[in-house]
Amino acid sequence: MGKLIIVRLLRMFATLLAVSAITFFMLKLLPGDPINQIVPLEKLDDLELVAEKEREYNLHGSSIEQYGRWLKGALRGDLGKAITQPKRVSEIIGDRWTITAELALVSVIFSVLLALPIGIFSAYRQGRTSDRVLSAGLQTGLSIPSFVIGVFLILIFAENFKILPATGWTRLSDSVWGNVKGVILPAIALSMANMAVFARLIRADMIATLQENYILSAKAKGMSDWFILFRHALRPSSLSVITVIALNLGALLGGTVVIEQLFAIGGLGRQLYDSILRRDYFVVQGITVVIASVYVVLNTMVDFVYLAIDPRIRGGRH
Amino acid sequence: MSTVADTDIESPLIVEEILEGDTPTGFRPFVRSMPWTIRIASVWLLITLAAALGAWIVEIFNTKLPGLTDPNYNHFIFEQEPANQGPSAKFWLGTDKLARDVFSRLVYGTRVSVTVALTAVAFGLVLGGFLGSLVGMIRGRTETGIMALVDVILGFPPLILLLVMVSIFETRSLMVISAVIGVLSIAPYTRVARANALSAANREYVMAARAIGAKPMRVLFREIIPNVVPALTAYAFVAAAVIMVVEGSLAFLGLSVQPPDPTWGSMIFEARGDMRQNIWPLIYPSAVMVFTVLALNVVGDWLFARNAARAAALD
Repeated sequence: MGKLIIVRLLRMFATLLAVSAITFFMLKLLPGDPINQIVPLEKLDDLELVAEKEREYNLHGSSIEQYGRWLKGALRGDLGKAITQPKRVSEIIGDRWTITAELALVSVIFSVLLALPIGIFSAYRQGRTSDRVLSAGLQTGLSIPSFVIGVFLILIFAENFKILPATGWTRLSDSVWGNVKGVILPAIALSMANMAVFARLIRADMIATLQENYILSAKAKGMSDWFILFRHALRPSSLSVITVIALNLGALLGGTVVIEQLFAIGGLGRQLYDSILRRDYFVVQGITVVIASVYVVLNTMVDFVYLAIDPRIRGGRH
Repeated sequence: MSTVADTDIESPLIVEEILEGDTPTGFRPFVRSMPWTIRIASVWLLITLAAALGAWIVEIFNTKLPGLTDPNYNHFIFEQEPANQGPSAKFWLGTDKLARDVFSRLVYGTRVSVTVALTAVAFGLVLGGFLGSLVGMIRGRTETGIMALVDVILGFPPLILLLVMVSIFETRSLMVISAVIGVLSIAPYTRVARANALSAANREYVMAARAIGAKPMRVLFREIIPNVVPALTAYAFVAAAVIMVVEGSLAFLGLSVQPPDPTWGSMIFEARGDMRQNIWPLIYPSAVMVFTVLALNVVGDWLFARNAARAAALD
């Protein structure tokens, strides 16, 4: 068990290292030399200035040396300097990650809150018309891209009824109500597909659990359906849902790029997109590595949860 | 995003049929075994394919097809045709805010989505399928190495890696987009193929083939791969659905095929600002996209259930 955890942790660090290296060297393939953006065209002859700027932005030496220095900095929490704004990359990320995190978190909460009743009810009425209708609805919900939902949400709630803002973000520290109003539409748009995935999973798990003998004995004792569903069936069914939630939270961080762009929310995703367009290598690199790291760490944590709960995996099949 | 895990298998009927031993193979029995939803979905997918093919034919042979005009042609400037028209014999689905033919744009957009999805499926099935089957059979160091690489590629959240990779290219033609998405598709297919190859490699018929002295390559191509293909095909449908959404997101961000060439995603993006005046250019691509993704998901799930039932019958 202890050895397994160490192996898994080592693998996580190896993956993190590989992810950062791939990002770093892939961005080196981008056309154009960043120094042309940093030093104005007429001063490019000034070799001293160029050399100084190259040192300042970690552009001197070979790519491998640059990566080494970047990694050393990254381990101390310093991801280099941004080109298009006078800030350090870590500052920019520190400034914006809360927005993306809140968006992702609220959207997961929405999807779970909706998926639970739908999944449970669907399992309870398995095979009947209501279950079939719900299942077809879930299948459809799974197939609508988040940005399509977002566009129509804006049309209905922002343009037609004018009850929620179409764009912009108010920080929680500025106005709680404004923050809540701003997060609702983008979070719903993001949550739809996940909701469908969760609900289908809950339904499938519940159906399997409801076949168990202890459910039969609970029924025989005369317990109410309600009590059986929530007290006896839900808990053993929730394991796989919890892991899928954790996995999807990571995937959501990628999905926020589109939704933040649509709703003009200045989170990590939008910053990433802007920086790609402006070719601000160091910001792109920093955000990509941070998002991918969160994703990798979450994946590892899910593995640990499984390890802790399911003794069969500890047996060494992994 | 759909995962493999959430397909629920409620097909005891199929299991019974298989156990009874009457599983005729061939095209007609296959079609006859389809529920009506699958038939509708298949027909829709064939229509989408036909639309993409039509757009390709017009492009390559420079011919004319009914209803199809140049998707980027501004009919107001040259023909005084008003923008935001309703459907007519000339413009089957009306015109958008720039007096362009919405039907033509939709068909050309279908070409982009279908081409990208098919390229991804081809890369995934051929390269990912082969690689996964191979490492699933030979195991050892090669497997560890290749799967580590796959893990790293899948360690990036979907879309993020794609965004960065697409931005490397200065011109974003349909070929570049398809190639980038295709290359990225290899990793997930490899993982699925390996998992299936692992279980196939343990079956008696593989052992029997080995016992009579079949060479490794023969075992791979005659025993392992034919048993990986059904599961991989089912996965390909669901994966193609994901790819279409991803390409749509990319286009919505303006990072797919370069404007003004239409894609579903960019049509939705362009019609968005104008939706209070004319909502139809927004409705059509959205509906077509959702239908197509839904059809792919439904067919993929059905194939999954079929395969799972067949595998269950084998045990």
